[in-house]
Amino acid sequence: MLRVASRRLLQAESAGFRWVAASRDFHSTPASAAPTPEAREQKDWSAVLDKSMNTLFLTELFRGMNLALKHFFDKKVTINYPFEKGPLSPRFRGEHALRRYATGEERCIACKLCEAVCPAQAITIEAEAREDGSRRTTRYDIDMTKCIYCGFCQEACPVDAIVEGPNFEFVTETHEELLYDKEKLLQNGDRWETEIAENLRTEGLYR
Amino acid sequence: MRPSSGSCSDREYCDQGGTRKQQLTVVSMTTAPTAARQAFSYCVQQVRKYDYANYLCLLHLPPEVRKAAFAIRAFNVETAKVGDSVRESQLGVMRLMWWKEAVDGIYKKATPLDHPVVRALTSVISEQRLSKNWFSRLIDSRITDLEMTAPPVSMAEVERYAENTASVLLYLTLEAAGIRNTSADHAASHIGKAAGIGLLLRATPVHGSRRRTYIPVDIAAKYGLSQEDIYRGENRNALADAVHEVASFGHAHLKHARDLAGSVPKEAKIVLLPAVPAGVLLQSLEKCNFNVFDGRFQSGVYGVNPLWMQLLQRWHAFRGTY
Repeated sequence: MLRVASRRLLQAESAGFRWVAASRDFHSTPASAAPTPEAREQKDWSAVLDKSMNTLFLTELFRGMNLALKHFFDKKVTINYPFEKGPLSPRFRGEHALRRYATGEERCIACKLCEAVCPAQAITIEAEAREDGSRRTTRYDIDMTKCIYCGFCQEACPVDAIVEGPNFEFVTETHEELLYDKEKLLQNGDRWETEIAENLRTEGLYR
Repeated sequence: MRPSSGSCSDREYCDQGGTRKQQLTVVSMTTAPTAARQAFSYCVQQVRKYDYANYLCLLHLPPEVRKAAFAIRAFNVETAKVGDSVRESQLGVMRLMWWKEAVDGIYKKATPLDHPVVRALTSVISEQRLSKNWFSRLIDSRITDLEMTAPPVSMAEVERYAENTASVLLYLTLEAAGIRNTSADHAASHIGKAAGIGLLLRATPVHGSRRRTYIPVDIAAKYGLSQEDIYRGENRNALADAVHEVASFGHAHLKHARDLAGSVPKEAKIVLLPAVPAGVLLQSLEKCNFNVFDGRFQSGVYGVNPLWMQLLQRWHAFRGTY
């Protein structure tokens, strides 16, 4: 391309049109855009024949239709999302939940390890002793907009009370709805207990 | 499992009704024994879920020892699970420190931390004398294990770990049964080591996926087995050789323990029944040519049918052997 341009420049110079070559602006077409007559003549005749046959018999159209038909009969890769969901790892870390024992007693004993370990400081706990002497939380808040879903809270919990369950669909319209309190977390726990217990199950002891 | 609304004491505390105080006294009077029972049933469930072979063993114990044994085994399950549920070892150490504090609390007669296993242990320790030393040893060795970054250097290290995690459970159960006998303790030490080594070998694929191994460095080096091979399950021949050597240590311990059987009192033998699953594990390892990745070895209870395991234990319990 460069060579063509320089040749043209030389031709212009030799013809005495020096001012034409120098006056290049954005309106003039670049020198290489129009092929030289020699290049146009070099086109292969068989290529021309191929191209015109393709145009005449609409082969591209049929090939395209063929592809469409093939995909029509192929196995679908899309899923009907709100009704079907993709597979989830048992270690998936989604919406938080506070679990209970099978007896209905809540597991959390307000040891505050999760609060201490949370890197985003999303957990706030207040606790006091109940009348029978056991320590329980009076307030267990998680700011779900601060949470980074690292899962450290569930790893630090000695009683497996706070877990990140398999739920990933908890969008809300307002920010306030994502400030979870204890009641909401316990509700989540009751709702997802079966799945959570199944995910936490390992085959046996390893050490 | 949804909470049943009727019987649960938790719901009553949330109740804001006028008769709350009255209800509370009724609840605390009636729930004292049921709370303990619930704690023990949680222990049984945990042992059954995670340690089925030993669960079957504990069923042969006399009822008064069984309670204590389940609490002790459940304590083991809870502390053993810690290492597998954390990605950061520091978090695991934190959880184990919590257990350490819980045990301290039990012995200081403070208000027990509210965990079913802690509650069960509290009620066991208030009735029977169990030395705290064993619990501390168990937790301490688990903490060192978590903090360990390299594989054990020699077999002695593995044996120490096995003794501190598996033998102590037998020592505690013997204590709970009120048996003070040197040869029983001696046999328990060997059986624990065999069981611990077997457990670690069986979990080799799981540990490997987390880039850990308990096959000592010197034995691995002897067969030209690199740690990377163990993690990836490659170089199976050398791995089988190394596993064979480690398992031989376990087998020797078991044989030692069985040689001592003559001087072990009869009531101690039933406590030492976990020797049976340990033996079965080593045997099924031998059957699949010491290939720890073999599907037959990894399936069932220690590679055999649960029913067969149960019958075998019953037979040993009946004969008074282990």
